[in-house]
Amino acid sequence: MTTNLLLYARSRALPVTVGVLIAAAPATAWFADWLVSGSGLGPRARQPLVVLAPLLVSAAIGASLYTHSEELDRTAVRPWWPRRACQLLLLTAVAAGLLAMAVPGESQVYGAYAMARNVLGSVGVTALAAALIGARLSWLPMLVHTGAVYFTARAEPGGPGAVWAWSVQPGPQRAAWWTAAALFAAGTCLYALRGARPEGPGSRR
Amino acid sequence: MSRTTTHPLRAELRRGVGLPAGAATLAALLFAMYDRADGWLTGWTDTTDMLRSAGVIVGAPLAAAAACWQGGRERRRGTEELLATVSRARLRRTLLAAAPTVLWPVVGYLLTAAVCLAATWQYASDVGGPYASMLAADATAIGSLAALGFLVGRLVPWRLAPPLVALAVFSVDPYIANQDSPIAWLSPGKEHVYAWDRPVWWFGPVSMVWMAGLAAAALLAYATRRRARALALAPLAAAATAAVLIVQTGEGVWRPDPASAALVCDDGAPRVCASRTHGRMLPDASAALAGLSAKLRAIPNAPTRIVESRGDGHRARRTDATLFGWDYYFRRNRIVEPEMFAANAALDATAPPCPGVSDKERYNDLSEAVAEWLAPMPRPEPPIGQDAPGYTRALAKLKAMPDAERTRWLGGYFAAVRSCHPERVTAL
Repeated sequence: MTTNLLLYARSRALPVTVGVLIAAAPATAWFADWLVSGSGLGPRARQPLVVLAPLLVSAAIGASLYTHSEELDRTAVRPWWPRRACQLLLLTAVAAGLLAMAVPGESQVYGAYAMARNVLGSVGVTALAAALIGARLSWLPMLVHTGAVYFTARAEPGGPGAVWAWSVQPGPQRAAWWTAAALFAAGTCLYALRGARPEGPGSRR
Repeated sequence: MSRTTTHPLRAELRRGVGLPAGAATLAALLFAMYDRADGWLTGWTDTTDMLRSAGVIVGAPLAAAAACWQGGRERRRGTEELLATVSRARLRRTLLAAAPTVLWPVVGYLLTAAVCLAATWQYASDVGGPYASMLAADATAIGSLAALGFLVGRLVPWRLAPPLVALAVFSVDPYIANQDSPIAWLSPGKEHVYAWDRPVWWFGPVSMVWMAGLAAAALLAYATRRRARALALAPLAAAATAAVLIVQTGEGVWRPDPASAALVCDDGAPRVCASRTHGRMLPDASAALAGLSAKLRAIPNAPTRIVESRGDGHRARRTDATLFGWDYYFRRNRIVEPEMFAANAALDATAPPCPGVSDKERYNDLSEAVAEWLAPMPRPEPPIGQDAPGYTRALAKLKAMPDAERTRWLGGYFAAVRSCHPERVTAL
């Protein structure tokens, strides 16, 4: 059983993925400290980090959803959805926990709340993309969304903007949380049930 | 029998990730510009500035990431060795492969610019025009960053390379743009403040040389044979020269345009004057200042004009009241905060900047009281139990005065403060 799990982890590049998640946490903490101490904006200075760090970890998680043996996987007797769901949930929990700890204090202003929410939403979008366009390009939709809303960066929290610009909300705005949670639920369900979209026999990396 | 052949460039442009990347760039840029339309639908300079920022923050990371993905195409397909056997030079093959993800995002940016400039047409004043060279420089920057992203994709066989390239572009450019030194002007997205400025004629072309030179040097260093690699030094030297020119000029790359900064005034008394670039704001500004003007009109020694301040150290006349940052009070040339606009104009009228004023507290209280009487500032009620601000006592006395006595006192007040001798103001 342990051997099976190890093989599964290796086939999904999970050691590298977990390494990226672990490395992202101290890097985020260092940048958060640098931004807060250097800008004079206080905790609001963490906004770029709270938007961009989840983008990075969701890209890493999305890359791990790729399978090199899609046709072989389909011949398996056991259902795949529990493994896929566990993989996504565990990686998301690790990423959200580590990154939330990397932005301590003032949790309502681009702190732990916003970081955890953005990890959930970003992973949800990435998992949806993996199921629909393939794991290797799964980072693309979240990148497009981040670029657009990061530029508009709604200064006033709440309102209708909290739905589509959920990733730039400061923290406890309910609409942003609902949107991120819905994206995560949809992404997890779709990926667990369908897996990543096959990307052809010529795909190597 | 006829045989049609398709140029490889045409095939590259029509297939692969380039076209979707261009479409995504176009969609994201249009969305971002639409969402912030109130911030730029005023004049050519504002539109140019916003397009430059959007191009770098929204377009460039996407283009660089897509190009990085494209750079790893041959590796993913396992066709590297096969392509190495064809007769075409490596540089030509590299340029062909990079073309779709370099060109399509640039087209997306230029289409966005065309849409935004067309929308600006109905709001912009009759002076100046679109700064095409700056937009061309930005398009060049997006293409150059995409080319650099492509090379990263060629060299780094890692699935996370494209999003990391995007994050690097997201982070590095704003970091450079926010520096407190002339280096900031090397960033293609560096914003500037004044709506009546225009770039010096060479800024756009030199910026293009700066970014395109870097990309060309990297491409030549990667794709030419060892002996020909020295060729990469030529574009690198051009880029370095352009960078030195930009950094040495610093903020001087944008300079006030006398035609745009010239004042246009209404016929009122006191006259309300806006820079020509904000000339379309004048009717609403005059209406918002009507109440203030009516009060000032009756007071001797009061300002004779209320003018838009250039805010760049340019001194107005001593008899002018100035007001900076009209853009904050207007959206698409219509005023949205008339009370605040009038109140801030009144504050400048009653407290012109004077160095070394003695008894500053008394002066501040008096000037605030007079400004509040002229044009009340909308502000929240002070919390219960908190002392009333210092100016309220003076304001109450001012309101209680008979009209003739108040006019006389205000005449003396304006004579004193506008000659920078507030100590000569008589007690209320």
